[in-house]
Amino acid sequence: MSDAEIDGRPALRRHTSHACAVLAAGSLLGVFVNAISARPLPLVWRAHSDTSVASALPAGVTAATLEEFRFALATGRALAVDARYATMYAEGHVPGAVSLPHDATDAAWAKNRAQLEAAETLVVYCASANCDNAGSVARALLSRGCKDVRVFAGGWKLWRESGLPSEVSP
Amino acid sequence: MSRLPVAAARLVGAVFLVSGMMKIFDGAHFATSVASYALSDETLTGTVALVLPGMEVAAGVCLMTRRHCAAGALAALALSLVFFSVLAWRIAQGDTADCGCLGENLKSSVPVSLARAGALGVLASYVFVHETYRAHAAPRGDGTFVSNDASV
Repeated sequence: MSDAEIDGRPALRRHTSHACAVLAAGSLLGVFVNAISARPLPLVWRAHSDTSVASALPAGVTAATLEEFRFALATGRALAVDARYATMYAEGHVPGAVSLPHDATDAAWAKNRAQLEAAETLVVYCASANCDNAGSVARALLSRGCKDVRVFAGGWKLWRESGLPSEVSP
Repeated sequence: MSRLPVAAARLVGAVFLVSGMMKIFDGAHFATSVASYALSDETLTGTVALVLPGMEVAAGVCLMTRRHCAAGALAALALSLVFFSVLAWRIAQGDTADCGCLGENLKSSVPVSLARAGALGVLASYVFVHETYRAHAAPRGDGTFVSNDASV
């Protein structure tokens, strides 16, 4: 038996390589569990992932997919902005969303200005993928100095169809 | 003599397995915790939130089943060092609220989690050293081990 074998260096090397394999297997496990979950998180946060929607948005506004929207809300990086009519907002909206109706943007901005200006990212949504009110409200937010404004193109319809939680205003 | 390392391996394995399982199925909440540390670029928050619990589970399984126990102990030691460093940094920043280390349902303050990470690291080191030493020892008749190396 050589000196190297006696002092355990080969064993240490072997254990180290096995430990790396264990950690790599664990990483794959985490990615796999996320992939098969009902609501997977995006591995990488991308600002311009939905180029088909982005092309129809006002300049300076980017698109957010459902998972990006969820992820941004879950991590506290984004504030949801509801561009629908106030009555629709009252009946149900994305939890924590601020109402900024497209027909009363000025008044709603004055009421919620501090909260909107403090948010790192604003994600605007309207009723569905067919409405364009989110785009107009996003443009209004940009004109008021908000830096990172995105539009969740799927809107309230996709949010509800995905079985995600909602909040009702009193 | 040989029961202590087994108990230590099972204890460390159980803690890693449970904490990993609690986080791996609640990625959104753990991502929130990871993001609050603001340690990495935000684009990697999701990756870190998914990969870390998986690593904990893998290390926990190795230690609990005692298959590749030394590798599991070394992986657990590496993870404990990472957690300890991050938690110490967070305390230095003056933040001692819930660290998000055990998922959403089990709250754990940063100082308590720091102590736990330290204790787990010590236990994992003990298991690793024991397993590495055992690989160079011959079994005695009573089931314990004696080193082949006369210098030990």
